[in-house]
Amino acid sequence: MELDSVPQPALEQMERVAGADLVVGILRPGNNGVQAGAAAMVREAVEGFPHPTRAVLVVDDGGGGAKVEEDQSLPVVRYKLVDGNSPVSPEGVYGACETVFGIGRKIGVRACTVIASDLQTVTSAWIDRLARPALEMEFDLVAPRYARHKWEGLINRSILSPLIRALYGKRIQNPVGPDIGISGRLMKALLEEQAGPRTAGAASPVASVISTAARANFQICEAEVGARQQPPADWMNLSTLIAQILKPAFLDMERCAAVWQRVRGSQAVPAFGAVEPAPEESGPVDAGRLIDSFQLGVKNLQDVWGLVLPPTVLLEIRKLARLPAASFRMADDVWVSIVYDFALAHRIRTINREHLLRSFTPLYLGWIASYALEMAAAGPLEVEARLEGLARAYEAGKPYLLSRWRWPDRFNP
Amino acid sequence: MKKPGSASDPLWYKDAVIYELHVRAFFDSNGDGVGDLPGLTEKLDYLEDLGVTCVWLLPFFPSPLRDDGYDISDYTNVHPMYGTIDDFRAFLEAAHQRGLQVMIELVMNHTSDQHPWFQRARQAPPDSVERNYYVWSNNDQKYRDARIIFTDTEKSNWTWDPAAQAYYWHRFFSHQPDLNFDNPRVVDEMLQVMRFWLDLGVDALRLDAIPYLVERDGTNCENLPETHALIKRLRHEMEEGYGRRMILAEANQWPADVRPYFGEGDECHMAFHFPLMPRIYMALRQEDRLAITDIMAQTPAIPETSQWGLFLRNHDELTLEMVTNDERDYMYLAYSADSRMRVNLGIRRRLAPLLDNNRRRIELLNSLLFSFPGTPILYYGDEIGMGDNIYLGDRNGVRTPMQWNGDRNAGFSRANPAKLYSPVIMDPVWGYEAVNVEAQQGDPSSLVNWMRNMIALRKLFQVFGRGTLEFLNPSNRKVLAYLRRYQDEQVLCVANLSRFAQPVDLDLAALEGATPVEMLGYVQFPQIERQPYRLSLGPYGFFWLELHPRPETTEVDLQAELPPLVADNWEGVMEGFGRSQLEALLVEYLPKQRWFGAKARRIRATRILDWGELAGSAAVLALVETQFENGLPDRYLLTLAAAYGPEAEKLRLSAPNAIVSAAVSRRGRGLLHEAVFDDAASAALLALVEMGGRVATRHGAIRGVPGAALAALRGAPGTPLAPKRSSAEQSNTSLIYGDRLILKLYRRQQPGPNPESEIGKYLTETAHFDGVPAFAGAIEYDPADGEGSTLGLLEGLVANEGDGWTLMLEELERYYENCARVPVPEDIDADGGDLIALSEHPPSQLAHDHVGIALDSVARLGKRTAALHLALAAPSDDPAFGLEPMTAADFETLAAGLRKKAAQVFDLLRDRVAKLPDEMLDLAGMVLGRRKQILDSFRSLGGRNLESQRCRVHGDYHLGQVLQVRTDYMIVDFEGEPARPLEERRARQSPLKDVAGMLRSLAYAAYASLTSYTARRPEDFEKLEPWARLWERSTAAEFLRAYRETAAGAAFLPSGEGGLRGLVAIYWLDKVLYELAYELNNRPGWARIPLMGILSLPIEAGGRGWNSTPFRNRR
Repeated sequence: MELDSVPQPALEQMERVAGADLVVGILRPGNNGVQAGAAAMVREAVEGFPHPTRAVLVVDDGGGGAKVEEDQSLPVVRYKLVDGNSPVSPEGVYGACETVFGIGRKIGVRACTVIASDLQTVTSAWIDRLARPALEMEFDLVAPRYARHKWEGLINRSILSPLIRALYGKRIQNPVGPDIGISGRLMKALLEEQAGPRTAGAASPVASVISTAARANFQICEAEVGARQQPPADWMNLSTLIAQILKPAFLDMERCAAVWQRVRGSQAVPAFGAVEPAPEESGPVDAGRLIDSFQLGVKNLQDVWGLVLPPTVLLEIRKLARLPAASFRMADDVWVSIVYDFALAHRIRTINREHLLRSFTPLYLGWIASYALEMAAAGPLEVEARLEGLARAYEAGKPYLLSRWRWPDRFNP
Repeated sequence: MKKPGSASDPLWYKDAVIYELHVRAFFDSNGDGVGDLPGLTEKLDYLEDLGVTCVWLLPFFPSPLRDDGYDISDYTNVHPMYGTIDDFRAFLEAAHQRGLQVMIELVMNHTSDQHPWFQRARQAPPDSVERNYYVWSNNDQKYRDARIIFTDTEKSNWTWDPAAQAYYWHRFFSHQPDLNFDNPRVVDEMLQVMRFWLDLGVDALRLDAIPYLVERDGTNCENLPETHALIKRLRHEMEEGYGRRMILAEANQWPADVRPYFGEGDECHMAFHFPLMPRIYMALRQEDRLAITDIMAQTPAIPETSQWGLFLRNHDELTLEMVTNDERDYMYLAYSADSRMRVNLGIRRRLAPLLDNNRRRIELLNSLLFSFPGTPILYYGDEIGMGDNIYLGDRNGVRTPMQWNGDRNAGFSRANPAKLYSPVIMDPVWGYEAVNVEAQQGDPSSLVNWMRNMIALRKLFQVFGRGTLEFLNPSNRKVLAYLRRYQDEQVLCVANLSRFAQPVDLDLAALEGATPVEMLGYVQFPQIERQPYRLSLGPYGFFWLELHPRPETTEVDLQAELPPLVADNWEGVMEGFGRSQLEALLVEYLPKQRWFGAKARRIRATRILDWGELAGSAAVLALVETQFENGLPDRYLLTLAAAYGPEAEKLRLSAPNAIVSAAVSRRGRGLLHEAVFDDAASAALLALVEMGGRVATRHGAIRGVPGAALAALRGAPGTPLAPKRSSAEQSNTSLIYGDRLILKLYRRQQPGPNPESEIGKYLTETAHFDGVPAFAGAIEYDPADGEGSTLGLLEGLVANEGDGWTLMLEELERYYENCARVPVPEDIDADGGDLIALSEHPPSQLAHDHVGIALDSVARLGKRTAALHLALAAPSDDPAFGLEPMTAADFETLAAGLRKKAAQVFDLLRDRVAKLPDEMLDLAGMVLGRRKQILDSFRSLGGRNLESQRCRVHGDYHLGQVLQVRTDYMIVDFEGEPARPLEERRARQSPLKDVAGMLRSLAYAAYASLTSYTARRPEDFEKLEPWARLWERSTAAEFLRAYRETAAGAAFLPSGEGGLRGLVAIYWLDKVLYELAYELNNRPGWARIPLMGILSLPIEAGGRGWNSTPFRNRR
């Protein structure tokens, strides 16, 4: 991000703090829109570092200015990070992260941490764990590990995390944050890629963080940060949410095909911090409604899916739609094939990309229904084993993705 | 203002796919019948979708257009027919937005005769600066050695200009006067032109006709040094002012003549490879790869940053300048049946018509274009298989409008067809209604979709643009096969040039173990083995096979490939998040350790069984179970410590094999490694024994047990004993403390008392035998459940002159040196009788004369060995020691056990025979042929009562297990053969097992030394072999004689001579088979010695049994 049109006050703030080690971006207001706790949290984290560290706090200046306590030990840069209350959306977070990275680069920091989660659950330990490996251990990317119950983060668990594991061989619980720590050099690499030609810069720098790191052999680790306050599921706008998440991921796949096609197998990355207990579950999931949505999609979207999915998968979907709720199970290989075929259709523009991504929603709801029924009574270990099985199915299906990607012939089984 | 180019990689042109087009022919946006820049901009999405990365525009500058724009009248503008300079800027911006690079023409050699420079020159006075912009002469005789290029139209390179009253020089058409680069003003003008376009952001310049820039009398006026100096200047100016730009040379010359245009990487970045193109067509038509391999063999290496430009067709004729006369005639006959297809020295046809519109041939040639070393250049329209019009003049037949769809004018223009700059192709086969972009985009099986997929695939692999080329030479010359390599990418390309299916056997032995994966469909092919790799190809078929290396042979760079372990604390590593990672890492780590005993077995998984932190250090001791794909698991002792900063760097350099993993902790980045490389950990191990300390483990305890002699051995308390790691690591790891103590850590752990520790303690503290190192203590493991084991043994360090093996080899080298000068005596094998009988007499005079000092040495060794056995056989209260009788049933059991082991060794040999070096195959075959005979020989032992007794023995006795201490020997290493079960190693056995072991060792020494001595002159082996036999036989007999003398009357010696011979022989055979198994597993190149040992046994049926033959004459 070039920050070409930096407002004068913000520019002055940045120039004043040039030479800092760490920039911490706090994207969301805390209680009552007050970010006062943010400054204290950053100070506390930085004071715990073994070496003196000069940090800068970046807070959103939209909506009338953030209320942040500022003193000489912690300069604050106020900048418009988000539009309205949109940081909840992936697009909003991606955009805000990019802005914080841009500010970090302008200041010339060695590391950057972005806290996108609701401040209610964030502590100074989050900043410590996300920043310190990048500042002191030469890690370039610190991805968060959250304590989560089985219904949390399902788009990530069913698509992003296993997809990225299969593509880039890195087993990362939350490959696109939203809370994240990165090194100065990774930040530079991400922003330079964004500044490239249209095709290269189409994906968000956050969505590209793993691929960029994998390509240049940047060092990746994870940090246990505990439970996070999840934004409530917005079922009415699920299609938009899915599109906002999948689009940059699929664009990044296209951009980095030469990288992920060489990766075989996967490995865990180092993780810091102790695992914390998962929060209480929010109650059972109504699988019936999800199945209804899936069946409606089967009825209405056959023609679209027919252009995207091979006949064997279409047949499985059709059979699935006829099953009673009690035996509704979507096999992992079918789900993986769906995700891979959608990624391919996105790449070769089989249909309009927006339409394509929106048509994915009923299929995703079908997967959730299947997962919800399967895991209704499962404990944390069973859930992890279930998701590990899914991740392995993604890896096992990678040759299928490769063959379809390299020779995207519609005439296939 | 300078605009940057669009590429980010300075070597972008190496990975590029270039698309050549003429603005005039691509798309007409304003309906005037001529393609234009806005039209081209409109079609950039098509090019982006096709996947090309660089657009090369033929000249679009103001021009009278008498040579398709190569006759330029204004270098820094756009021909009004094609648009404006702003249109060009917009096009460039749009192309860059799409990540496309743009290459334009820099026609340096000549201008149009309408160029103001020329008009001014012809009016200017002779020799004036203005006149000298061009090359003038008063006659047409200058530069007579320069050939005429356009032979169809030009008769001379000089043309009379009436205005100037002089001749002007032109290498091409007479309306294209050559610029005079001897005039510095012209050079400056051309540099200004270059800067003008580079300032706009143009990424690359194609330098047209550069061999002809400078003229000199007495030369052919091509490729002159002055021309190269000029190009260097141009490149220099480009490098100085602009980043990531490129110059492509058009020099239609032989590869060796083009090579100088790359300079030392300081002239052109790229140059066309002209001679390759016609030869691809020739090879295809002749169905013989020779034409291609021949020209590639003539292609010199080019600088690292340089690149060849490859093409199948372009805007000119298929040039046949760079072929022989015969080849040219062949090409005319093969590819231009109609004489109208020919122009100048070439064939003016497009790709598809040249190949009779055969889709397979088109695909095959494109597969070569995309996989040969260089940057592929596509000519517009060839991606859809456009045809040509041979009825149009000059080369206009291949420059017709692009066929976009089936609408009027092929969708190229909305103009009245009569207004088009050129008629579109309209015939039924090639016409736009049959061949057009729109139709092909809607057809998943069309050529354009195939091309798009191939381009996308090529772009995934830098090996195609950057890799080396190595041709394979299969006997079937209809098949072209080559390997491309770049960094970790390896691709095998195989192409069938024939119209029929072809088989091919490829010699890929050097790639044994790699797995080819067909790149288009990601289909895994069978793994490559040493045998020829067989493929079958359909007509004009081709394979691109990505070679995946064998996983287990991949060099594992721990830092690069594996995630670091988080080593904040041992709990986390051994029990927490790191445990599974560490267990996975050990699968790779353990087999690389010298002490790992199961190298022939494949580890499936490892499991940390127990571990404890070693007090006084930051290390842990761990017991790890290795689970194999087959068979029972093993258990190993592992010591682990972490190092950071300079300490880690030092270790990385000094002992990379001891690094288990990269590690990170709050101390930073470091290494997890064997703790024996850590001084504090090594000292803590000694302290553990000295103090009789205890380490609590997860499932038991580790304790130090000091020996009675420790205090005396250690010296004054508090004396620092600096730890040092012994370099002589084999199946264990040894740490030396000062010059006093040695701690041996037993890596492979077996539950139960360790024989070495047990015997050492017994001999030191009970038998008071001084022929072994004094026992100083042990480290014992006591699990909460099950039987414990010994982790380490502490002994007094013995000052010695070396081990028996090394000293004997030194002696043997001198022996062969001396013997080599002496003729082989006729009676050298006179002592070739039975060894037992031989041992009853002193050595012969011949042996004395030649073997000499070694005889005394082995005699001392024989005595020492007997003394050891006598000590072990002495009556004892310890139930593990003392004598016990060997019954007939014991012999039966012994024979059955030995036979079983022998059968396993034969099975191993059978499995490994294919992997032995060629020269050993005969030996191995002969040994396998004796399997039944040898196995039967063990039966002869069974059921006999040899009236013998048995006691504890050394168990793995050979020259390497004795140290020479002054004039005597000290016997070490009572661990037994580590590969054998502990129960067996602790069992009482006949001491003759040790005797046989030493006899085999003497034989091993004799032949190992002979092999080494004759390594440079293998023909001497046969000549010296009688001397080896003499040495082996006489030392063996002397050793045995001394042994028998010292042990005479001992109960462990069989009462009769037959019993002695029988037992020695059977143990000897067992030993040689053990050696064979060891070498097959660890050093196949050494298997020759045991194989020869086995074959030295005579083949005798019936009559004498095996119990006597090993010690008879082996001739």
